[in-house]
Amino acid sequence: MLLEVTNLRTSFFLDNGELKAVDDISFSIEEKQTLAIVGESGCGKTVAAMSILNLVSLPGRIISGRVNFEGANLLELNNDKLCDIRGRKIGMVFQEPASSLNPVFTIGAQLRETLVRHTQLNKHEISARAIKLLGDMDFKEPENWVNAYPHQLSGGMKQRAAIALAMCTQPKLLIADEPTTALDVTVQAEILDLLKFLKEEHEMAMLLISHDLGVVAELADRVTVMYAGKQFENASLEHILTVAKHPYTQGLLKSMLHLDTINNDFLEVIPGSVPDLLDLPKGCSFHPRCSLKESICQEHVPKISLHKNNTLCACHLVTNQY
Amino acid sequence: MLLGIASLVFFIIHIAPGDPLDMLINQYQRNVPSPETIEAFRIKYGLDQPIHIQYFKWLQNCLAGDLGESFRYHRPVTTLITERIPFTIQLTFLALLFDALFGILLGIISAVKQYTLTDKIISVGSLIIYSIPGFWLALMLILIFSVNLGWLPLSQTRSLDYDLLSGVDQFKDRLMHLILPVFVLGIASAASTARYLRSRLLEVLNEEFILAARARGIKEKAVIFSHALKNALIPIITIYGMSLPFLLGGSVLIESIFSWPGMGSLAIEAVQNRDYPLILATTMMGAILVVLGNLLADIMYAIVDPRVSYDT
Repeated sequence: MLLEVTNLRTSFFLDNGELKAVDDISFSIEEKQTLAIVGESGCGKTVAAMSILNLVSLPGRIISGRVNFEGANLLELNNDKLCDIRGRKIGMVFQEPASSLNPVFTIGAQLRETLVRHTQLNKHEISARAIKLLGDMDFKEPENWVNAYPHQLSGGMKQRAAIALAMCTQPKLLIADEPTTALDVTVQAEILDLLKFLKEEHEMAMLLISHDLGVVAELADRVTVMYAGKQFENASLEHILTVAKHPYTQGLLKSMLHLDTINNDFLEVIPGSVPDLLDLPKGCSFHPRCSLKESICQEHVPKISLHKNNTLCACHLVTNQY
Repeated sequence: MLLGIASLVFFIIHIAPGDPLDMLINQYQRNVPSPETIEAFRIKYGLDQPIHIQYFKWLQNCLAGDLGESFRYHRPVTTLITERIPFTIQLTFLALLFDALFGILLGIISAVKQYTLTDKIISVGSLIIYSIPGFWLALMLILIFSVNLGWLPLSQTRSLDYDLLSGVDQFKDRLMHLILPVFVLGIASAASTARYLRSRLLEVLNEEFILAARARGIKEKAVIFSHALKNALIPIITIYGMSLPFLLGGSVLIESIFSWPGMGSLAIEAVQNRDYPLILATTMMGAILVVLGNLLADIMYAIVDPRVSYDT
């Protein structure tokens, strides 16, 4: 197992209470495998990813849990060792390419800085490597683009530059936090193809964070569904797309746009909206929006339990059905 | 615009009460000059002419580069200014240096150690210093260090026996005279620089590219000193561009208190003596410097911030 996250809890301690952004999440990623964390905005996907690299900053704090990466618990490593893993073994791509690149340094300067940090190459090799990295990311004439500042690049190019930064040292695991959300649809496809290619080329594992099941279907091998800081379901992509049991996952799937449903006037939606994390409903946090809810749902928080086909699910009703 | 400022100043000082001749008369309290002398003076400096004629004459001379002759010193205004400017530059340059050094240093410390005791001491301390009026601080420091302790000289740029001192001692003497005025001028702006840099730095440290840099394993030192500081310093560098009028125009209050023979005290003497040509020249210079300072700030902005360019 490359990455094993167990019982991770991350909370934000705000003036008006403890916000449990990630509440007892466990998942694992094998080598070369892609796991997608799926959920609506504000469900804690990004915080979960940040917690892996121990990058949660105050008032947020990782309360408990383990993040085992290649045998070491990242949450217990000292800062120096952690910095050696960040960017070297685990790369990260952010949602908003416009703000994840430093506006006052050229793309090349940022690439070279990262390469200097993580490799023993000499100056000459580093410059050449930076250009090659941009070339690998489908930049035409990369030797010109290394000297460009982020604002001179288009949105798609920025994201490709950001991916180049994450790929500097060919990490074992790439965390991609909504890598296509901020981009145009055509550019989205381009970035998806690039990620897919890189994943196979470098035999890299990936943690994909997305709310777009279309993107997830393209890249993921396994999917974990999050809702209001909790994990609802964890199963293979195939299972999720075809026989997902959890009512929330089913709702997400129904609200996807399909070619055969496009002629219908209405797209099915999940009624209501994500609850306030500071004021979660009693019992299952999804029950106010769930069409199948029973009395037990309003009283007890469902435990996540293992079902057949190595599937995890947290729903009272699903337990009953199996 | 400069013409507008010049004209405005010209008419305001002529409308304002007081007459340069009154001042001249006050100068010779014991033997009051005869009416003929006064009249001769009036004619010599063209004060007998109607105001609009005076105005156009002054404007004409101005454009020809002649700023007139000081009523008080009976010497060309340009000579007076070139004599005084080096003293002002000396004082304010050192003050700016002090400001940049301490302001930036304290700003960084305070931002990096946010919410710690160090941060609180720096923040509250700089707020207090920033709020203290400069002239009061100057007087208090003079009282403590010059009058009571006798460590530092009271005022002026050098001691009375300056000419008798050896080369090294002469330098030391000048340095001693600089300490208090530089400190008073520098510390208030250092305090504001520190506060401003702290808030800018904290803002920048919350940006996603800082998180991204950390996620790439960049060491915290490099994150702060290279990634964050370069972004946070951009607006501060431009503020230094705008301090050009201060650098050359000097501080009226501080220079007066320390009897520093710079541009600031020249300006105040000019006003006190109703020395029209000198008032006009010093205010004009101030105006030009403000405009140039803004221009400089814009140019510096374009140099330090790659996102700004004027080559369109």
